[in-house]
Amino acid sequence: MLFAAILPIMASAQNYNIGLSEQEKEEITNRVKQKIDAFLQQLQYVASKDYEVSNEAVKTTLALFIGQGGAYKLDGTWHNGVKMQTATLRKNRHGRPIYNKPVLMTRYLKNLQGLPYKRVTIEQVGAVRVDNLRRVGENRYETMAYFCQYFRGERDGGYYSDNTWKSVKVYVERIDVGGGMTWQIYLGDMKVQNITK
Amino acid sequence: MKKTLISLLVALVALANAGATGKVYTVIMGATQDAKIGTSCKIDLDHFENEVATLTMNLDLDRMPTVRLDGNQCDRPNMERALNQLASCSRDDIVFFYYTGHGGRSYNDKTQWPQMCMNYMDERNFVPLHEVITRVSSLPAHLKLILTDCCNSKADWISSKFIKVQSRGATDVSEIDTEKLAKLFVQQNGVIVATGSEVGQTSQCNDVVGGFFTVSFWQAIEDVGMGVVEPSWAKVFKRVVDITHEFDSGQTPIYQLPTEAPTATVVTNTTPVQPSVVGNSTVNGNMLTAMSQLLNRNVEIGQRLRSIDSIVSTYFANSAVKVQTVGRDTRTIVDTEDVGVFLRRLCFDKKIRQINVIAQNVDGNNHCTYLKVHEVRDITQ
Repeated sequence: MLFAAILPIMASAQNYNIGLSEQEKEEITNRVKQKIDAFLQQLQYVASKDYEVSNEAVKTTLALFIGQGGAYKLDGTWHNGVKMQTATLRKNRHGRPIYNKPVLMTRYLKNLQGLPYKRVTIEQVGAVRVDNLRRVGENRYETMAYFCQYFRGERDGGYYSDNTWKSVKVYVERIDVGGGMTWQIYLGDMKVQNITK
Repeated sequence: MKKTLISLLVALVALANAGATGKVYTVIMGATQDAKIGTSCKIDLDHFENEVATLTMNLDLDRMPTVRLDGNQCDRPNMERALNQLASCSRDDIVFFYYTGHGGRSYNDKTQWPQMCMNYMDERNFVPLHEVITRVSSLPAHLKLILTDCCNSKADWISSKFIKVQSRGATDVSEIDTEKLAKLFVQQNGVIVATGSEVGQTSQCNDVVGGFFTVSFWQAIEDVGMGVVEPSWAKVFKRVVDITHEFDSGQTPIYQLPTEAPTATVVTNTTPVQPSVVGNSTVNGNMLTAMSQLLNRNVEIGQRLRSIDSIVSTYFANSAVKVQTVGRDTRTIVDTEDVGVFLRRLCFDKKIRQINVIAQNVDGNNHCTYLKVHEVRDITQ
């Protein structure tokens, strides 16, 4: 009985990329990479000490995320907002890097604006990897993407830097925008996979 | 004294010419009103305009706004006016003339080139392509390309093949070898004429890719930029024929290559080309200039961001105007943004090399109510 219940679940979990042509898969993958690239480019401006520029960059960055970074409803459930996890190489009492509890993206960006560094550099390292798309509903897909972010904060007398590997959930939905159908792509929660020097 | 004066004059002329940058003039015509092929013709015109804008950017040349004659403007009087305006071109320049629509020929036609039907039903008004060839060939521009994709009839049973120039994403120019394109366009002199089919054949199209000859031509040019095809017009058109044959449409393009020798050396523009927003002659030039300034990395970003409200209130109907970004096929919608969000993105995104305006709507006050654009990006930036 239990086996019979599991089988359909396993079968539906294998239902990848249904309804998408090779061209569409490639197109969506490229656009996911573009969104992540835009996110990292804009983080650089969020961390800028020019608060006018920084605030504009926050607005533009939040537009990349589901719910524009605010509360959103998914499959009937409300979520407070997209979350971001960070980590630091500063060791805990066990001598290991600290993986912080995820915070709302709005909070993360505010924290980035207030970092006590004279100059912050944030860059993408290497290529973005995008998993196969998974169909989750009518005209809706999800996937995971992975990227590496280099961070360097400089102040008088020294600097801190790290390379953080992150995963990001990606939501893809086919919608009618009045001039035709399009794939709308939003970034979701970001989690730390690994952090190194 | 006389020798010194002459030497000085020669030096001054050389100095003047050393800074001369060629321009690209483009006249495109399409029978977009036609009930059967109008949609395909519109695809062709959007595609051609978009590719010329990107090519001009890759060649570091100046671009004259494309003269686009479609709808009820696709006729002889408008064509004559457009050809007259081409008289202002110079030796440094390149001229494109392109037509997509119905075509035909009579049993008495002496040349291999078709007659362009344009919007006319009466065959007495058809415009023979050889008239255009004669007019354009006499222009001083060093390279003149006359292309027609006509004798078109819809063939729904023909499947579309995936071709890079019809991709649905942004154009990525990071791997384009611009020197190869320069060999083809800047160093080459003479007249090139080509049409989509041989005498007696029809040129095919569909509502997915547009005209098969047109898309094959631009794919061949892309192949030159990517190093797949040598930068010679003979090789390019061999490739055009091969790609057209892949559509299995029973047509073979014909062409005539220039007889003049290429220029050995080229005066190149040494000033780095700024990213910009470009459009055809119907788009407000001041609006394009203002939006181009948002891409200018030499201007402090705060200043660029502060100018956005002014740009929106001056050129757009309101802040809720939508800007749609489309793929290289000029039809697939990649993104839809409020104009303010779009303009902010221009300030932040360092990988944008050019924005090609494909279409716009304006209200009675000439304010933009809708914009359709295509992004040309360099992903290595």
